[in-house]
Amino acid sequence: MNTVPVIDARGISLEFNGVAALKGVSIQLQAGRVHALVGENGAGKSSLAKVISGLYRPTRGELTLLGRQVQFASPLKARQAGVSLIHQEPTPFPDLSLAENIFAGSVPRRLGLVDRKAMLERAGEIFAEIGLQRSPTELAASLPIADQQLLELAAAMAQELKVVIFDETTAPLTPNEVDRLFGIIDRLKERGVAIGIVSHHLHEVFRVADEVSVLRDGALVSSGPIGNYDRDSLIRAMVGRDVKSNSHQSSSHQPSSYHPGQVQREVVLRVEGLSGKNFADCSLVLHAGEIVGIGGLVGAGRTELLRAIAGLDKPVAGSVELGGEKVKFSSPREAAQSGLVMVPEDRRHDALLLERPIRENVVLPILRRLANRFGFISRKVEVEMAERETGRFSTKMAGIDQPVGELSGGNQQKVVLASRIAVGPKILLLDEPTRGVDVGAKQEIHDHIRSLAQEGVAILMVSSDLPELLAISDRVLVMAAGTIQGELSGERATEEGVMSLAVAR
Amino acid sequence: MSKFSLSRLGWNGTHSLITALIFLTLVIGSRVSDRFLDRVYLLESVTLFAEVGIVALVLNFVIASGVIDLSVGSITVLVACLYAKLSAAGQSLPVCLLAAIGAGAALGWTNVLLVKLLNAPAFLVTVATLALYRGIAQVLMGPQSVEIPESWVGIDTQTFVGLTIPLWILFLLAILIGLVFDRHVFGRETLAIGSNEEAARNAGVNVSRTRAIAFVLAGVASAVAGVLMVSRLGLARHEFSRGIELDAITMVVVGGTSIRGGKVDVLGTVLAFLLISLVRTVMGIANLPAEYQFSFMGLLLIAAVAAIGIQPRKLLLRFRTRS
Amino acid sequence: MTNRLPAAVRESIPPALGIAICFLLVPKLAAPTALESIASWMPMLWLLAIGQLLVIVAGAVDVSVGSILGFATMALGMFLKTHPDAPVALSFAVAAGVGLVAGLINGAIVGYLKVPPLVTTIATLASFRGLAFMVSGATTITGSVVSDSVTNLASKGVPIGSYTVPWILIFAILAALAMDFAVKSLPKLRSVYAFGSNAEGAFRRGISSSSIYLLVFGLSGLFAGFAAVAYLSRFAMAAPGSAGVGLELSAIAAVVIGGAKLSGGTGRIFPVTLGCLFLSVLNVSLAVIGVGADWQLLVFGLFLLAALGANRTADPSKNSSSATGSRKAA
Repeated sequence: MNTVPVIDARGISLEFNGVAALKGVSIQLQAGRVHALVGENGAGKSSLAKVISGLYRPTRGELTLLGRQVQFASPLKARQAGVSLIHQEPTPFPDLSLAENIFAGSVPRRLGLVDRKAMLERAGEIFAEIGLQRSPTELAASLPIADQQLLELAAAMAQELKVVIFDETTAPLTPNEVDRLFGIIDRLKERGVAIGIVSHHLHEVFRVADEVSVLRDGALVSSGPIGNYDRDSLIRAMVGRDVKSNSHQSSSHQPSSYHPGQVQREVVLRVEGLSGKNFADCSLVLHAGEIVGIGGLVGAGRTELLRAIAGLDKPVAGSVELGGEKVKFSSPREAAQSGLVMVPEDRRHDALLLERPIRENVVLPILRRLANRFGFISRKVEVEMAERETGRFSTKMAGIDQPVGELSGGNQQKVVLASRIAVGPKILLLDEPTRGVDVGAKQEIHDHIRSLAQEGVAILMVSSDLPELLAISDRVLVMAAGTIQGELSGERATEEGVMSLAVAR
Repeated sequence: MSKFSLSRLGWNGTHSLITALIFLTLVIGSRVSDRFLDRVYLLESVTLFAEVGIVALVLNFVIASGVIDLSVGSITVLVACLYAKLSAAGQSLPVCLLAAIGAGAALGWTNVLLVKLLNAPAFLVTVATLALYRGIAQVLMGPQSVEIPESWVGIDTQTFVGLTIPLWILFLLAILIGLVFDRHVFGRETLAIGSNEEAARNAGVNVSRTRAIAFVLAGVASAVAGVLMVSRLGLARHEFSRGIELDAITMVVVGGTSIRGGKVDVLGTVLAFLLISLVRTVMGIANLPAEYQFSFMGLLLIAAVAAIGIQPRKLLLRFRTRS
Repeated sequence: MTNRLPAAVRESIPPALGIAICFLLVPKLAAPTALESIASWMPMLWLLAIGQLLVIVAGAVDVSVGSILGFATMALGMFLKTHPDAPVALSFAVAAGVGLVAGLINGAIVGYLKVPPLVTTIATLASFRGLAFMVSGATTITGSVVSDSVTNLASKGVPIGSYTVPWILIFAILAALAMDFAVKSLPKLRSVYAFGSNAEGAFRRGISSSSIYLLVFGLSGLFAGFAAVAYLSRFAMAAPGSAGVGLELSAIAAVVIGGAKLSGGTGRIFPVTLGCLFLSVLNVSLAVIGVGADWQLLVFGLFLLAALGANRTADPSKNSSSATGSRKAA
C-alpha cells in the first residue's frame, strides 16, 4: 500500500449542539477499491459519508484528497473536486429535464449562457456509459427510484469523478437493479474511482467491498480488508456485544403461535379480489392470532395493498370483510374504529409529530377515547396512558415529555408501535416494521409482534428483510407485479422460495 | 400547596421578553404624554384593540394547523356591515347577533369549501376571499355609513370589575383557548395536523374536518370582532378594519406561535396583544399616521418570525401547495 | 424539448379561452378606444406579473409588489418635482432602483432571516406603503409635476396604421422577450427553476436558497419599479395611499391564470402574458358594460378564485393523488 489514498480522513470529529456524532474517525479510500462502512443505526456511517462529501464540515480533523488538504465549503465544491455522494433517497428535480437534472447548479456555458446543445450531448454520453436508457430531454417527474439513483450518479459523473460514496442505495432496489448497480460499480472501479459504500446489508458488503470499516457510537472500532471478516465477526464488531443475528434466528426459530389445521381460528379479515393502483385481484385471509408476512420486491404493490386495506387509498375493485362484514373504509380513522390499524413504513413522514412530546404522539390515535363528553382529556389519565404504552418497550427517553424527534430511529419506531398498539387493534398491518432500526431494537420489536399475536391480534406484515419475514411469519404471501403469486409456509418458507416467487415475472 | 412557579404555568423566555417590552413601552409612553399612565385612558386604549386580539386568539387554531387565513379582516367588515344593515332594517338585537355569528361561520365555511373545491393553498384562497368579502361589503354599502340604534352603542365603555366587556371576552376566551390546546381533542388534533399532517391523518385524525372547524371559528371570532367594532363606533362602513389581518397575525407570531404550525402559545398571544395595543397607542399619541404604524407592525412581524424562525427550518415553505 | 411545447400550449389555453369569451360576450371590445384602453392597462400589470412569475417559480410569493409600486411611484414623483427636466432614462433608473432595493430587502429577509415569503411580504406590504407616505411627506403627486417625458411613454409611440403602440407597451414587450430569453438561457435563472422544483436537491447542488430569494425578490422589486413608471405615465398623478393598492392580487392572478405551478418549478412568460392580457381585457370589458367601481373588488375576488380553479385543471400533476403509487411494478 504505497499509493497515495484518494481520500484520507484523519481524526474526524463531528458535533451537533455538543453531541458527538463522530469521534476521531480515520479512514482511507483507495483508487479502484470499494470501501464499505458498516455499523448500527446512529453509529455515524452516514455522518462520515457526509463529511467526506462536503455536506457537513467536521468539528475537528482533516481531510486530504490525493495528498492535498481540502475543506469543502459545500457539496458543490466537493462535487467539483470530484467527490460525490449518492443518497439513500435521490432527490431529482421533477419539473426539469433529465439533462438539466444532471447539470443543475453547474450547467455547461458558452458566453455565459446555458449551452443546451453541449448539455444534451454530454448527458447522452453519460447515460450510455452507465446504461440508463432514457432521453435527456424527458422530465424527471415519473422516473422510478432505481433510475433516479442512476440519474444522481450521472450527475456525479458530469464532473471528473474521483470518489463516490453510495449511501444505502440498494435498499429500495430490486435484485436486477442491484446487479445493474454493482455492474456499474465494477466499471467505476476499473476507471480508478475510489468508492465508498454505506450499507445495512452485509451480504452486499461481502459481495462488493474490498475493505470494510466498522463504526460504533461515532467511533471507528475495526477496519481492514474484507477477507479478515466473516458475517459473525462483523456483527460482533458492530454491536459490541454478542447478539444472535437475525439470520441465525431464522434457522433456529420456528413460528409457534399458529399451526394450520390444529386449531380452528376465527377469520378476522378476508380480502377478496382487491384491486387498486399498482395491485390487482388480491385475495387473502387473516385469522386471529396469526402473523402473515407479505414478501416481494419493492414496487410489487405490497404497500399499496396494505394502504387500500387500511383505508388510506381507495381500491377500484374487490372487497374487504372484517369479521364477516363487508367494510369500505374511507380513512384510517374509520378503520381504527373497526379495530384495524396500520403502522406505515416511513415513520418520520407518515407517523410522527417530530417536535411534539412522546406523550402526545402516543395518545394521538386514542385522544377521543380518553376524552370526557365535552372533549377534554384529564392530564393524569393521559400521562398514565402514555407511560403504560411506552413501558411496553424499553424506550430510551428522557421522559414522556421529550420531543419524539430527539429519539433515535429505533426508539422512534417503538413510539409509533406503542401508539398504534394503544388503540387495541384486532388487526395490525405493519409496513416494514424494522426498516432503519438497529439490531437491538429490531429484536425487541419482533418479540413484541409475536406476543401481540399470542394475545390474539391478527398481523399482516410487509417486509423486505427476508430473514425477518421468515422468522416471524406463520405463513408468507409473495407478491410480484401487483398480484399475489403464492403462499409459503412451513418448510417451503425459505429465502429461495420467496425470491423465486418474487421474481415470477 | 406546592411551590408556586411561573414556569409550571408555561411561562417562558418569550413571555418575559414581551413583558419587559410592555414595561418599556409604558415608560416611553409616560415620557411622551402625562396622561398616558392614566388607568382609564390605558383601559380605553387597550380596549380599542380587543377586537383584533380576539381575532388573533382564535386565528391561533388556523395557524397552529399549519395554514393561514388572510380573510379575517374582510369577514369582520362584512359582518359589521350586515349587522348594521339588519339593525337599520329594524331587526331586534338577538336576531342581529345571531345573524352576525351565523354569517361569520358561513364565511369561514366558504373559505373551507373553496380550498377543497379549488384544491389550492389556503393563503391564496383567502387572499381571493379577502377581496371578495370586502367587495361584497362595498356593493352592499356603497359610499354610505349605516348607524345602529343608540342603545346598542358603547359596549367598549361598559366595565365589569374594572375591565371593559371586550377585554373580559378576550381574557376569558384566552383561558378557554389555552385549555383547548392543552387538554381538548380539537386543540391537540389541530397541533398534530400542524406538526405533521400525514401522520395526523394516519393516526385517525379527521384532518379536513379539524381544519374546517378552525376556519369556521376564525370566521365566528371575526364576526364577534365586527359586532364589537360597530358597537364601539356606532356605525359601519365598508372600508373599516382594513389590514387587521396583519395586526392579528403579528400578535399570534410575536406571542411565540409557530407560523409553520405545530406549536402554539396562547399566553404569548395575550401578552403580544397588550404590547401591540400599547405600542400603537404610544405611536398614536406621538401623532404617527396610521400608515407609519403599519410599517412598524410589518417590522415587528418580521422581527418576531426571524427571531423564532432561525431555529430549525424543517419546512422552508410551509405555505406551499399541499397535495 | 418534446415536453416543452405541449406544456406551453396547455398553460395558454385557460387565458386564451378567457380572452375569447370576453370578446364574444362584449363585441364592443374590438372598437379602437377599447383596444387602446387595453393597451394602456396591460404594461403595468405585465411588468408586475413577470417579476411575480419568477418568485412563484421559486416556490414563494410576493404580495408586497403593489406597495413597492406605490413606494417607487411616489419616489419617482418626488424626484420629478425637483428634476422636472430629467431624461426619461433617469426616471426609469430612479423607479427601478427604488424597486430593486425594496425587492432586495424582501429577498434578504426571506433568504437570510428565514422568514416565510408570505409572512415577509405581508409585513413589507405594510412597511413599503408607509415608506410611500414618508418619501412623499403624505402629499399627492399632481399632474403638473409629472413631466411630459414620462406621460409621453403612454400617450406617444410607434404608429401602426391608425393605431399607436405606446412606448411603455414596447418597453414591456422588450422586457418580456428579454426575460423569456433569460429564463431559458441564464444559468442563474435555470437555478431558480431547479430550486423551485426541489429546494433540498438544489441545496445539494450548491444552489443557495439565500441567493435565489435575493435574486427573485430583487427582480420582482425591479419590475415593480418599471411598473411604477408605467403607472405614472398612464395616470400622470399618484397618491401614497392608493398607488398600486391591490395590484399584487392582479399580478398573482395573472401568473396563476398563466399556469405556473404554485408549488414552484414551472412557469413560462408567454402563458403569463396571456394571463395579463386576459385580466386587462376583463377590466376593460367590465368598464365597457358599465360595471361600477363598487363592484370591482367583488368581481376581482371571484376571478382570482376562478383563476385558482383554472390553474388546477391546467396542472395535471396536482390531480394525481398520492406519491406512493408513482413507482411502477418491477
